[in-house]
Amino acid sequence: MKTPIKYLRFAVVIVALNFMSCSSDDDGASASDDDEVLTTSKYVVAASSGENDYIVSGDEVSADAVFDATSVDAVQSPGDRIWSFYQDDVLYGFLYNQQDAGTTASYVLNADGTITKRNELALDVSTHIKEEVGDYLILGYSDRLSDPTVDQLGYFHKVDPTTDASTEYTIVTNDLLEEGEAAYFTDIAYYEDHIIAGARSINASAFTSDYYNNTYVVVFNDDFTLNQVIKDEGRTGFVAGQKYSQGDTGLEVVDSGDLYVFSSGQTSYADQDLVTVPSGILKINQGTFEFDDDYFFNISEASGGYNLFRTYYMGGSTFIVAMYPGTNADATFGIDADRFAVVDVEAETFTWVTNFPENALPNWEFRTPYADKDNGRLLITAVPSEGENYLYEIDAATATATQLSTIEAESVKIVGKLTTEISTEE
Amino acid sequence: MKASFFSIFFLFTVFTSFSQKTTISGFVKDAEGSPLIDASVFVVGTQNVAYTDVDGAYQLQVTSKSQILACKSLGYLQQEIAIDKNKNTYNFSLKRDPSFSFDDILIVGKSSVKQIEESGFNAIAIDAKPFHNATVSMTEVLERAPGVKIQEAGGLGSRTNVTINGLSGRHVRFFIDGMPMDAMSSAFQVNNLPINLAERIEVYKGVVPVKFGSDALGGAVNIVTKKTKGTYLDASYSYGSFNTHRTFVNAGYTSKSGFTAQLNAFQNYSDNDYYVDATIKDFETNLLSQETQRVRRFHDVYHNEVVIAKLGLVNKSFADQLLFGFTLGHEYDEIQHPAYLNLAFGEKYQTSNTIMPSLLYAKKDLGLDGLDFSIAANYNFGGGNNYDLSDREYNWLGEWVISKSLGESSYSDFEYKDRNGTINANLDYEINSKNRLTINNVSNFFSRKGDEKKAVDDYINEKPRVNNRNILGVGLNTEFSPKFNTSIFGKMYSYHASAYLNLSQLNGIENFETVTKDDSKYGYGFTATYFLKDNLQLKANYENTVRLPVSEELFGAVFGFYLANFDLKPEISNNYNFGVNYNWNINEDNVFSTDVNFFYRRTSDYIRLNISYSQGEGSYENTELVKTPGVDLEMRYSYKNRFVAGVSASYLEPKNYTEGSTYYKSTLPNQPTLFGQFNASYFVDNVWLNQSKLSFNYVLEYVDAFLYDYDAYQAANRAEVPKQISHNISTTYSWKKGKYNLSLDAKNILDETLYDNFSLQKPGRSFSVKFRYFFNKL
Repeated sequence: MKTPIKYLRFAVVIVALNFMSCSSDDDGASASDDDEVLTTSKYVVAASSGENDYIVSGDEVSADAVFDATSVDAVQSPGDRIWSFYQDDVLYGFLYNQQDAGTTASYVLNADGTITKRNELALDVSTHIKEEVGDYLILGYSDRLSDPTVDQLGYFHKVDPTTDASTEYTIVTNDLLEEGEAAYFTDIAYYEDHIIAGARSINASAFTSDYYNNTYVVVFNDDFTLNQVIKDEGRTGFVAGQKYSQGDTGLEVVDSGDLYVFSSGQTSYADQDLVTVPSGILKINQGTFEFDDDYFFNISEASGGYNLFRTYYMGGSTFIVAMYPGTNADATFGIDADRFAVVDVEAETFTWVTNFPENALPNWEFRTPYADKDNGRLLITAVPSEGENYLYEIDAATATATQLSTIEAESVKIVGKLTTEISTEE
Repeated sequence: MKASFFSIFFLFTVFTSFSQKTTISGFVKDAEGSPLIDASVFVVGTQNVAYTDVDGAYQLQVTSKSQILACKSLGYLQQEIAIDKNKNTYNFSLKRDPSFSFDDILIVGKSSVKQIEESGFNAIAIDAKPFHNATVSMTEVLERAPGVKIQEAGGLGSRTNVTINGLSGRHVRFFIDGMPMDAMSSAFQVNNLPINLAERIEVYKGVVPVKFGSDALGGAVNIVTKKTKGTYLDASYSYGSFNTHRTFVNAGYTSKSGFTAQLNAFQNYSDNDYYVDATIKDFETNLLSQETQRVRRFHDVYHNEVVIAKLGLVNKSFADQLLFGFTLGHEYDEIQHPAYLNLAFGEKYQTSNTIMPSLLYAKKDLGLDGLDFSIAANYNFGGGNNYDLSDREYNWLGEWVISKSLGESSYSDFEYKDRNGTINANLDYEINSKNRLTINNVSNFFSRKGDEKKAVDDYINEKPRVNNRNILGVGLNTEFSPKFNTSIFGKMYSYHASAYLNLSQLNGIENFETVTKDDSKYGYGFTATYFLKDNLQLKANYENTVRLPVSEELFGAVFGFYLANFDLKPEISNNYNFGVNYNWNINEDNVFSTDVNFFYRRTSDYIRLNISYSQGEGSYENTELVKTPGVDLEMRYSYKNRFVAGVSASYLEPKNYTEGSTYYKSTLPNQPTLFGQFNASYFVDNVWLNQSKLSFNYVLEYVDAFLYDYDAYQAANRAEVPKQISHNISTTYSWKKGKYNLSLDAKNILDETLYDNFSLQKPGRSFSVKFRYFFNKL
């Protein structure tokens, strides 16, 4: 069993190298004597044995390909981690020590096609938000008023993905959005040369608030001091669809430069009966720092009563979104958010995705999909029946899901791509 | 199941014998008239034996056919007396064996130790007395038992996991004098008790006798404390590497009128500042160093102090023993690092205390000949604290910077209070000379109230967590002949637990409610032992046992972030043991014995912690089926009382049989599967001083490499705990018949890098010196 895989890998490397030398020939116009920079890529899956995590890579994700976490080619990453990619460059595995941050390992693809650990990062707090912001990976965490006698802080680690070195910034969140409440950050993005964050106003750790029907975007200066808060009232709720402490998505700058802001419109577990706003999408037009009063896409209405959970940008004005049913007392806060739809934010169209298996997304909030924009598809791992892990693609153009590669593991965390530069001498 | 058990039970009670028996008694003394303890009195040609108590007294039942009564004791010549049908009292006065200089230091345990090992249970009894002069911990001695593996997270006082035949953690229960230790707080546990407290340590592998009233799935460890009579003082102090101090004092007095007072006090202290190889955090980049560096632990002080006082009456008409006791214990434990050794803490610590009154009442022949009754009870008012209030973060060099977030692991000033009680009632009735009935009931009341002072949203601790359990057991022991002995038993386990929980963890709605859970289960088993020859014993035993989930497993931890799992089912295990024991007296001077035990554990709904740090939490889950076959082997050799050597080895294959999983038929991770020990001691008499003894001891410990994950996961870089061999030596000099003792110990003399757990390095080479004074006047 081991030997064929080894040969297969060898063959793949040979093919890849041939391909690279071909493309090198194509670029042959360059007469430079310097080493030419070429790249190689692999699809990468982080999966778990239930005890530890494993990184497995492959050249394709077709239905007959297998990502086998039990094979000798898998890379063990001790512990049970949350995973995040920085673009196609680095894969970060966050290990938690109960509530606090443990260490984070960074993994990169080598020129020989292997994946190895580059560094161990020791961050001060755990992270609820992980986003690529410009040339950095920003990790965010917010205090939740457990001990209201001290200043409530938002914590941001700015990680340099080339060295993994990081700097920590904090901002006092008391009264940041509303007097008497604290801000809790839900997503981060980079807009008009500013780091911006989605936030919600909370007055207790159970995410209760007197300001459920508002949407807040916080604009930071480079050192994470406050630049301004952009606020919208009465149309939808806080940025993102939150499950437990995780918001993850909600702010997206599209190719045209406009910023789209997504909200589930949900309140908190404690005050779920007070929901009066729908799930919806707001817009901040390029160059401005205010919500466009004329733009609101009522997603609850478009979906026939569902709520937004996660949003993935597929290029142009197209998003693939995950939805969950129920409002007020029936709200499930993302627990069964396994219905996908394709949304065009400009045309304001909403199309349900067909063919995706039901109840197939356990621990959804840590099952980060990969927006494979080049191929117009979202790749996501799912469990169509117990003990069977598969990669699925959701095609943005056709709004259909297709089952792809098998993943041999107890559970799967993330799928993405790693790319590395290969220097070849003339 | 219950009905069939009881029908078997009654069937057995019919097997009674009617041959005439009488009880004889007497005293065994030496030539100077001092009583001899642990001397054996036996009917020649039979297995019928009794052992003398501290007064030198014995009682033995003999049949009308018995002819010659003999008495022997190590260091003395055997004496024989013909049995006279009209006489019930036989006193012995033993003469010294000239080949022995004195008899204070026994090498091979006898009496109670032997009784346990010759029972039908797969049991080992370790005589603790030979270890009383050495600087060894209770767990080090416990590890001498074949099939027992100790995994320590660090130095003195560190978290300790005991595995018996492949089952560990909560699957193994601990007792002190038959009382369960679960509820006695961490200030009073097997990892911090001194060896001098124990007379012997009993290890029951798999099948546990009814009298322990236990739902132990994988076995039980019972620490039997010293019960010396007369006036005595046993005091010792040891000092060793890492600034380790240990003191032990045990004093007692029993008057002729039966008044008794006993005091036990001990203390352990260590800086635990041994060297480890760790990665260093750079506060500029927040990166860990690529290479590990040899650094000294700087925040790992551990100390505990315990006082146990007992007052009461013995040998009264209304009570053989009536003792009132009080145990006070305190523990302080600095936490040096999180789950792995890559980060360091500099201020986090925990404390706990035990405040426990206790009562013991025992009476033989209570109103009826052969009806022995005892009741023991204790109540622990102890509690503990967890402090993590630092505003700094540290690295392994002991450097620190001001941290932007409070707390090194999780900002906390947590206090908990326990209200834990245990009542153990035991009734033993000798129906006739062949059948003995035991009824035992253990009730355990556990209530823990917590308070996180640094969180206003600490709703989960607003109400105490309660877990009340009751285990009722009935057993019948039948001695068909001196060669053939069986017992059958049945147990009923029931529990009631409650906790105040956020049900949103279950269904997505934040809603605190008091949740309760209760259940009852039944278990049963049998033991049998047969002597093919006097020196060749066969043992077989089986138990269908149940372990009830404890409150942490059902409701999640109060300290940690484990989620509730109400669907958790009790674990059920079928434990099979088969053993052969052979003693070969090669000649007068050379004695060889060997013990081989095969075991098989078939555990369904095995409860394991499924940690999911990615969510900052974990929960206890039932694993469908775990099968563990294995074998323990022990061999011992002694030459006179000059030299003893022993070797023990264990091999087991715990495999997960969860259908459809990727680890189907894979070996369970994170536990040793092949390990063993070799030990040898050499004794020289009367070196320098008369009536002195000098001993040299050597212990080799071996653990084969084991994996950090299921072996089905074959990643080339997979983590493993490497194969380890360590060598330990010690020498002890005892003079004035063992009144004064001085010992020097060197552990891990080759300074090997040792691990019991992945990443958690244990101490390197260490030295210690111990002085002990022992005085006993009967």
